[in-house]
Amino acid sequence: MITRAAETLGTLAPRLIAVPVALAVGLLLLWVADAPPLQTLRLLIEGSLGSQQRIGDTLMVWAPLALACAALVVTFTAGLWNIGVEGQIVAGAIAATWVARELSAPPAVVMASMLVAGTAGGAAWAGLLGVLNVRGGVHEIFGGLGLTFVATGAVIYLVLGPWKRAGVASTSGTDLFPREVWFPTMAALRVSPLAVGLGVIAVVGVFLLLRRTRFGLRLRATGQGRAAAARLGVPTERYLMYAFLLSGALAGIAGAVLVGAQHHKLVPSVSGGYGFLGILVVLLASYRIHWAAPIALFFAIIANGSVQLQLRLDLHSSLGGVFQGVLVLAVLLAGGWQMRRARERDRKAAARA
Amino acid sequence: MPVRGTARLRVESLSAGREVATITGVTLEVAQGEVVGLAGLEGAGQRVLLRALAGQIPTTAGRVTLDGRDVTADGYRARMAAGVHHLPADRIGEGLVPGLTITEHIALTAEQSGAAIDWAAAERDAAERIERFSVRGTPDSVPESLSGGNQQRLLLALMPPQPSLVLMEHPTRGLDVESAAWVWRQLLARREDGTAFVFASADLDELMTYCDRILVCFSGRIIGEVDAATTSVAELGLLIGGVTA
Repeated sequence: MITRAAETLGTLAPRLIAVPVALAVGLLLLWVADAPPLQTLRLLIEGSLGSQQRIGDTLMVWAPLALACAALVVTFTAGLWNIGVEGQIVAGAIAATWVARELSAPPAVVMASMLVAGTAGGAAWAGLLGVLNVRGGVHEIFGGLGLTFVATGAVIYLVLGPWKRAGVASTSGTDLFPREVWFPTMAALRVSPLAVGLGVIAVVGVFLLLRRTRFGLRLRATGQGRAAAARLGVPTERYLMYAFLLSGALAGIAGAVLVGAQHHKLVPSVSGGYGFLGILVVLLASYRIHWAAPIALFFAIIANGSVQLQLRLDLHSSLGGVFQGVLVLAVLLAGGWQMRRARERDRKAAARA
Repeated sequence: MPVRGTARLRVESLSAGREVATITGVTLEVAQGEVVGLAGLEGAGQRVLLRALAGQIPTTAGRVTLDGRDVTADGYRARMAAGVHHLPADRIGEGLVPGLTITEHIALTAEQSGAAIDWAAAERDAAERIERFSVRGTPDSVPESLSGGNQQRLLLALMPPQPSLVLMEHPTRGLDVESAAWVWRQLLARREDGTAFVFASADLDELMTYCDRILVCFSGRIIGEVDAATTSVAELGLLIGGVTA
């Protein structure tokens, strides 16, 4: 147990060092942009955690991001780069919107159906990618990017076409859903417990799935050595498909949460990059969901706080994104450096032997 | 003495493979408890034949029966369920999953029911098999940290208890003499239960020491069969080179 903890610390140490490095680079950027660094940091924290409502807003960024991370950890575990997760979020959002617009039933039924439809929409979009990848030999990065473009295009078509607001076609989105099917929120916090709860369930669920179950072990075996896993009796193609479907389902839930709890309508940038941001978070977390969840919270804090930078310091809010990018880059560099050192160590050990 | 019963494996006019890596018209029979070696130059067809028998390469013609049951159309996992076990030459790339511990390998191959893994039981099982197969490692060791000999020991530890047919590619390549002898003792002990072996090796001494019969592959066909007890390196060498007269 102790050796394992030490090993974990050993692999994480360079990544942890990367955080202050990234912070230093970030502060340097602020200095170049002529912004007072300490005040900027204070605004970042205050902007995201300064009041109950802001904490609530931050949690509402965390929920879809955590779902996207859970989705990505599943596919990364199977050795797949599911860049298409952004498109799967969008597909889930479209499906949930369709239900919200078309289904007339008691609100609870409509909301539950929106979640089911979002899950199915995301899973279907990922399933399509899975078939292209597993059966058609299309690399999942290219297939995923292509399908993301298609999904994003479909949203714009729907918003400006069949689902346009009465009388006007506006990129501000469709009509708002009937108020009774908005996912309930705690008024004081502006938080939808359902959204945050689903995020938590996804994180815990994926953790348990990968650690405790035969399914998770087979998925890991498929990801780490597909040929060997197949020889040991794992139906690897089927498990790749399962990974795509589960990942898409989780992403689809994120899409349903975004339209049901946040926008209350379909907007052209419904996801706004949660899928891509999730990739950064998961890379930072070394593909481990229990690290991805807190890192996602950290990213949500930066994302939310950087809005304040714009309001109070007249700095563009994209500075938050720049900081996130620098952080990921620093961690990846640290990881690369660590691998290089390990290789050199192995070479030296081999030379001695 | 090993059990020498009815035919365990019967292969009739088997063709398999694609492009240059093919075998054509292979016919052979292996009895229960028999050890059959495949000799030949690299690429002469031994690997394709073993993989076709394992169900990893689809057959294009011919028939394969295992214990009297036609398994020609069965894929790898179906043949695995029927008792066929394949040990590849590439122990890390194809045999063992890098990054998964010995315990995880045990859990992956164990026939447990239910969705959840009993990790405590898997770890106990791993420790027990590490001891029994003299693997120099712990339940937490990953295969890439083991030596070639210990990787092969681990592969044997993962083998089901009573396979009916074991197909092996270079089972002792890269192992020291002691490890190689140990591996063979472990393998041959299973003949008592009727397990049959077909293996390819580039080591003629190994073939002559452990086989009952040696089949020689040349250009995707079997061009000769010799009795391992009476053949000589010279005779085998000529056959491997394609000289049949």
